[in-house]
Formats: sequence, C-alpha cells, structure tokens
Amino acid sequence: MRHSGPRRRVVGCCDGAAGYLEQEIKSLLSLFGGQFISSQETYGKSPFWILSIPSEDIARNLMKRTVCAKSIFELWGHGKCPEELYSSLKNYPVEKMVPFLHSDSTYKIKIHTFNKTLTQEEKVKRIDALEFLPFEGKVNLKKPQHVFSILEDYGLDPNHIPENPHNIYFGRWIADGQRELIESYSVKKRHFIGNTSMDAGLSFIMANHGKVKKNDIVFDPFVGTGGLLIASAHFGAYVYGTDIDYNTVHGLGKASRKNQKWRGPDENIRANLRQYGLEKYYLDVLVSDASKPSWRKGTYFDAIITDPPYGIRESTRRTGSQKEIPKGIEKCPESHVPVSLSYHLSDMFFDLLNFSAETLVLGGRLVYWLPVYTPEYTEEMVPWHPCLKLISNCEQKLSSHTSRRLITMEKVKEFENRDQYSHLLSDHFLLYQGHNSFREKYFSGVTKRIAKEEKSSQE
Amino acid sequence: MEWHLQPRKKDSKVSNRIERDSPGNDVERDHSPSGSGFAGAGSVDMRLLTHNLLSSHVRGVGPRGFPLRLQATEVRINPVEFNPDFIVRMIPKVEWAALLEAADHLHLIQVPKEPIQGYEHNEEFLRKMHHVLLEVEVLEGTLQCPESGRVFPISRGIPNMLLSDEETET
Repeated sequence: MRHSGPRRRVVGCCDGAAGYLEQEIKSLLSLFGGQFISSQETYGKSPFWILSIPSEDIARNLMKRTVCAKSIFELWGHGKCPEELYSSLKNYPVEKMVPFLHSDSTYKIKIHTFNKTLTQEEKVKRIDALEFLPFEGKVNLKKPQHVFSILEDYGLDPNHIPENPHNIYFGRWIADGQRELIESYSVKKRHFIGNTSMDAGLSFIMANHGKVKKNDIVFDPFVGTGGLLIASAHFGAYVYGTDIDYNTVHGLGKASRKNQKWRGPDENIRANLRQYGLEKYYLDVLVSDASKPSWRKGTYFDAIITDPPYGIRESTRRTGSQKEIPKGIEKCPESHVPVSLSYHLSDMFFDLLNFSAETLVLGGRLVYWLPVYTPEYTEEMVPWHPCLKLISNCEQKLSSHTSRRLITMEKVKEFENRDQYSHLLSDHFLLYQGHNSFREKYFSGVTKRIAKEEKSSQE
Repeated sequence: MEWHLQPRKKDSKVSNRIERDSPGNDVERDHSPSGSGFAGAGSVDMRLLTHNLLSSHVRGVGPRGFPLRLQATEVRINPVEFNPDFIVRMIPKVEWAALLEAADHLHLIQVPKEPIQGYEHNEEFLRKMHHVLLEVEVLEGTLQCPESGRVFPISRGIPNMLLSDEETET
C-alpha cells in the first residue's frame, strides 16, 4: 500500500544519544534524498522528535542506519493532555487511517511511558479510551500486522516525575533503529583493541554523519585498531587506513586488554573486519605519516572518518627534522619513526582539512573529533577551509574542563593550489593555535586547581 | 602463526625482546592459519588498486613521484567476492598506465589495456579488472620513487611510507 506525500512521523530516542540524534537523522535524510524540513520541528530536550518525512520508504531506510533513534512512528495525533490527544486524533483524516484498520487486518495497541511506570490497570484504561477510533480489524497480541503505540513523555529527570505527562503521542509503528549494533559490535568483544578504540555507538554515528553508503571508499588517516573502519564496512563501504605507529598497523606489541600482555596473531585490523564477516571490504592499511600523505593527486575518497590523537593517551607524532627537541621518542621493532616531533594540534587539523579538500569527491564528508579546552572554547576556533562547509559540531564532555567536538564537514568546492594556504590568513588558525597547549592544559596545575575549586564549591 | 617464528633482524633489539617475552603465543592461541602458508590468518596484503593511488612524497619530487615502481618477491592470489558495482565505480579513478606497468612487473597476464566501451555491463571485463585490482596481493616487495630512487619497503603486505628526517619535506 503506497502512502504518498510527506507525513509527520515521530522518533523516540535514547538519552545517551540525544546530542547526536539531530545531526545523524539530518545526514541520513540527506543520504536518502529526503529534504530536511526544519521549520518549527527542531529537536528539543525531550525523548521525542516530530519530523516531516517525504515517504515511508525513506523512514524505513533511515531506521536501517540510525543508532541514535529507537523507533519511528507515523504520527496520528498528539497533545499535552489526553483531551488534546483525542481531539487531535479526531482531526486526523480518516482515509489515512482506514488502510490499517479494515476488518481483514490484525492489530495491537501498545503503550510506552518514558520516565514513569504505570500499573497494568492504568495502561488498560488508556488503551480503552481510544475505542472511538474506527478499528475494525481483530486484535492479535502475538503477531499483529499493525502495531500502534501510545507514547507518554514524562520528561527526562528521574528525580522529578510529573503526575501528568508533558506530551502524549499516538502513532502507527513503522520500524526500529539499529541500537543493537552497539552491542553486537561492542569493543568488549572485539579481538583487536587499542587504548583509545572508539566506542561502537560513536563509530556508527560517525559513519552516518559521513553519509557512508555501499561501494564508497572510506579512509581513516589515524586508523589505530580500525574501529571506525568497521562501522563504514558494515554499511557496505570499502576501507583504507594509515597510521604512523608500525606496531598498531602490524598488530604487534603490548595489548590494551587487562590480563593480556602481548597482542596475539589474530589482532590486527583485517582480523577485526573478519570477526564481523566484513573482510571483503578491507582494501589496505599502510604505515604512513598523516602530515606527509602518500596519496597521489585526485579525488577518490567518499568519506574521511577519523579520530586524531589528542596527545594525552596516545602521543601526537610526526616525522621531521632533528633540530626540534623530540618529545617522547618511541622505538619500534625495525624502527620506522626516526624522530618524534610533537605534532602541534593546530597543524594537524589544518593538514587534515587540506588533505580532505584535495582527496574527497565533491559532496564527500570529513568527520573527526576536535579536542577543546572548554573554558576557552569558542565556535570561531573550529578549523576552517574554503573548500569544506561546516555541517555540524556536537559536543561530548571528557572532563570538567575538557571536551571533544564531533565535527562534520562537506566538500563543496574543488581544491586549487592556493587553497592550502588560506587558513594562514584566517583568524581561526590563530585561535586554535592556542590549542597546541591542549595537552599541557589537560595536565597542568591550572586545571587541577580549577577541579579543586569546583569540588570545594560543591561541598 | 608462522610470522612469529620468523627470525628477526639483528639490529632490532626491541623486537627480539617481544619474541622472547611472549611465550605461549603459539600455544595459547587457538587459530588455524589460512591455506597459503606464509601469509597465515592475520596477514594483510597490498593490492594493485592501492598501488595505483600511491605516490612518493620525497622532498621536491611532486607529481613526478607517481607511479611508484613496484617490485615483489612474494605475491599471492586471494579470492575476493566479486562486486561489479564497486568495480564500475573504480574504473574511472584508475590511472591506467600505472596499472599496466605494475601488472607487468608482477608478470600478470590477461590485463585489459584500457576501459572498453560499455564496460559497465561487460561482466567479463569487470571480472578481469576485479581480479587485477583486488585479488593480486603483494606480501613482500618494494615501491620505488621514480624520481629520487628512494625505496619504500612492503613487509607482511604493508607498505611503510615513512621518510627519514633528511628526506622530509619542509
């Protein structure tokens, strides 16, 4: 049965994902050709978000990709109290309801309450109150053709649960999201991990922000143990990775797992992909310095998705001249990093943006984490490039004074040689240069004092 | 896992230590190496598609650093699931002369000389390209900068593109 035209649909999401939900959905809508209609329907602080989506197919495609959204429903009515809900339902065009209510079909009505528990009696009462709806089909609790849901929103604060819900929605269930991917791809069960392996949920969110699709080529210049590549491979993209650390790329050296001293033979990036049946998407990994890339001229990456080192748990390094005082030289077997320079964070991000502008296809995306020292952060310091448009900037707190921001950029202009120097003229460069000292600030006495002050003010 | 048992070079003291201090790596791990002997279950290999995208970044070399001259001492053929849509997408990105040169160095036969008309629907052509681009893997070998002569090693299928301090571009 075709349901044409945009309909209002509501998604329910889980708390932890709240900060990323909006951008993830926007990126996915754009991937499936749906125009995001932003008008009044922007995402607020409730577990629900009402969206206009052009078709049910697009809604289903969205749900096949999202890890932030739990479920999506076709919205038939909503209100701030039962009476409002009922009158809203009475206003919903009957011809849109009828296809799902006719006498040959089976159905079930469920009720979900967020941040509150109702007794069985209370639940039944609410379902019975909907008797006025023209349901003609038969109730089937085991395997109904259509599932309808009453969704009651009691806010997000478990310490202040209101007597009455803030919002009530009624809708026809369409599909669930991919939250179970977070469990099945959990880092806990992965064969090969590092000290800073990306949480599975975040790696899928990053792939969604990157609009990764089947047959894309995705590249991670700071690949580590390959966690971000796994998510892209899951969505059907072919993957490349590079890293300056010989041990990590070859899967050698000390293990990151407790109780395990050395890495075993099954621990490398390819083995990780094999663990999930994704080995065919593995293209290659190389030992390479991201500041001196070995890729030829051309645009062949559909997405660059990466988590560059912040210099805290993994050092920021690059090859370079002996003249500068090296910080933390590391030896590797068959030593391949002659000198370790501290790679200034600002340089690293501008190198990354330049590289992305050169090698991404037009419309391709760069998704990366930017560490910031929160007391000094301003939006202006997010690295900028004339070929890349900033799509989004989502914060994740790391500590009381530091956070990282998930930056998504899209290539909108072809790269010309002069573009690689434009950042030097930009104010942004100077602002972020201050972040060279991100590592020092993270560890410095200043931050310790701030933490101490905060603690004493709470007591 | 055969590469664990491979003798290490004398100058890498650290690696020798890793070998000796990790007893039972072969005993504790329950794994079966894949059919092809040396390569084993955990190895990774450089493909010709990758070679086609790599260039030397030695100082001053610029675009003359492409293509790198490929020599291989150990190659294997590793079957990969054929995905015509992916191959169709890759064809326009391939630098054909470089591909033919590399294929020649590996003594491959049956390599198409150029994209043919209507390749998008020509399964035979696509299968040949799939084989050349994705199924031929270099385990041991070198990539040489055509301009400076600098050699980048490939070991266990992984190219090492790191330059020394003198060679680094400023």
